[in-house]
Amino acid sequence: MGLLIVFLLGLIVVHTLAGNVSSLLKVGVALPVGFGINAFVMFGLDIIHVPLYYVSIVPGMDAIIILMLAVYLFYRTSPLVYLLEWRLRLGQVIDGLLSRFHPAWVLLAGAVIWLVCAVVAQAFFWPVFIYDSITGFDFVAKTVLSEGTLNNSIFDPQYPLYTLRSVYPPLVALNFAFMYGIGFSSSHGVVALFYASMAVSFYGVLRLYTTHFSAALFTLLLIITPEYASFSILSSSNPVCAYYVSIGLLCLYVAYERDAAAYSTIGMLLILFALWTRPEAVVFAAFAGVFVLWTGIRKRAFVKPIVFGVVCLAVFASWQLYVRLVLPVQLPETTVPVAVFDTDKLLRMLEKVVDVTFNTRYYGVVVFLFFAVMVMNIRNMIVYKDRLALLLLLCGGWAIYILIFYAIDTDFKPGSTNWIEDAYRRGLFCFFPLMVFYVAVSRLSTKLFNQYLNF
Amino acid sequence: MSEKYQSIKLKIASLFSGKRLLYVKHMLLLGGVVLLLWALVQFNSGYEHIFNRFGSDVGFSWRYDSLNYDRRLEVKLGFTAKYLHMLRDSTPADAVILMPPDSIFFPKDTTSRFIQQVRNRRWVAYFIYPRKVVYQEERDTLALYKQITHVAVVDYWGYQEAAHVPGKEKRYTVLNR
Repeated sequence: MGLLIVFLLGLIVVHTLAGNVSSLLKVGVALPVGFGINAFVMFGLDIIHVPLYYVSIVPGMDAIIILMLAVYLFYRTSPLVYLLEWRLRLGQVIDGLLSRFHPAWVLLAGAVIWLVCAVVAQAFFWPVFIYDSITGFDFVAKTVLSEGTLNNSIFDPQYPLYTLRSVYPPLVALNFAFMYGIGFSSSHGVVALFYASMAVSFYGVLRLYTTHFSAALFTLLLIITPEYASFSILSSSNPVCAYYVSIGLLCLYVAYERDAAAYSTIGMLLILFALWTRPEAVVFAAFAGVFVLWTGIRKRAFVKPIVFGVVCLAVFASWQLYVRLVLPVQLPETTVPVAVFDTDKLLRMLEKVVDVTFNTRYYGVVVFLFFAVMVMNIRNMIVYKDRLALLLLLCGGWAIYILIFYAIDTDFKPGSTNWIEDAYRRGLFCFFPLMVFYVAVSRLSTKLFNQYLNF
Repeated sequence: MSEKYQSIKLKIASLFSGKRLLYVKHMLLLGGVVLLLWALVQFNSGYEHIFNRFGSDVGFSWRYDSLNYDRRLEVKLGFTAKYLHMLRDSTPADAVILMPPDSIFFPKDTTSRFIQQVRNRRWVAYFIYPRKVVYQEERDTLALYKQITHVAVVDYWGYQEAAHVPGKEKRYTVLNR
């Protein structure tokens, strides 16, 4: 019931803010948006000292928001017109599926469903056991539920039990607490539901550009990425961050490319939630901000970029201020300003980056496929400027992401902390949806799937 | 000969036209997809791992659905989880438990039943929360050491720290201080 409320909350917020987004994408982003709002509701309650161990308060608050938006929608749109619209859209979706119903699509869709069900089933079965979560988000979640506040006994200066991961932005930890609160014995379910949402949302975005068959094939290729699928069973914040960042950036790209304001709103909302998942998301948010600004300048529409920038700053600052002013913690600085350029350090780091990035055991064929299609598509990029903005989003974000690791206070010599082998390896999840999307919608693939394999 | 050849050609052409051609195309596409998925699983260890592991793990979770949360954790973390659950279940919520030194958890000459994380206070605290743990090595650095209420016994270590020693000594238990 609690999860249903979160889903409905996300769905109604998305429908209110961006009614013109495709129905499939609305369903896909509903849970992540619901979880995002849930975290802000819980944080707000904590700020005004409402104990979070009263389990019914958070779903209750969510239900109030749902009712308010439902009333707003009722008065905004005539209910009869609204119902007829939905009936029409649903009919279109079913007709579309039936007319494109062929065995290969059924097999691919079946494989996607099987994989998602396998991840969800395992996630709900196993308790939390990975080190990062036990000493980080999940411990925070358990103490939040037990003591009713984020500022709890694990931050006791006399007996500190926190780690760097305990003070990561709280979206993941608060939703883990929510899962425990509504009766689940393990918090893994949140991550697995983000995995399921990724499959639906990615399929939804792909469908805007390509056929059902192609969308199913590339969705499967994305979600079967070995490292990504394996981590979605664990209690990790990386798949959550990857969802918000990648689907957010894809929506911003759709908004830019199709001049569709609704997608821009969803994109900004998702990037905003990404800021509250992991510290490195601030880089993606800054990059997304520049992209939004650039789009705004091209279309002479400045209000949205400015509002986005201000809200992002407020969201980012809210947690930073909470950590510095409310929580009694002292944390080591892991990044240092790059004052002197160290070529040897950069080369050592890049060597590791290449090793990890092109490891097929981690990422299957995705990275190789991306580079292969990019090389084959060079002519189209030059002649038709094919998907240049998408490549800019992907490669620009990736380059900045690698630079963050260069700024870390380590020499990348043997025996040093495995930043690239661990953190970078999982952070790459943010880029895979963009890579697969590029492969699927490049001029070459579009011709292949829309012209030759569309029957 | 050529007439016969022409008629066979026409027959084949009639087989693959209209709706039949569509079915053939569908079957070819299906075959292509099956081949692609087979090749991915066959030639890439990552996909092979996902395919095999997910299949067996889902089967495992169906078979052992009746296991409770603690038992499932013990499947993953082994004896360490079992020992920490014993500490949690045998002590009151406000207990402060003295843990043995590293040399007891990991003796040099034998293989330990514990995993490395058991030496980490932050990791152990998760399993026995809200109880607190203090390690023998933290005697001089942690003020909480003076408030110890229980002693964790590992490999018969701990009896010397306990207030009352029972008649029969157990290898793994927890005692009042």
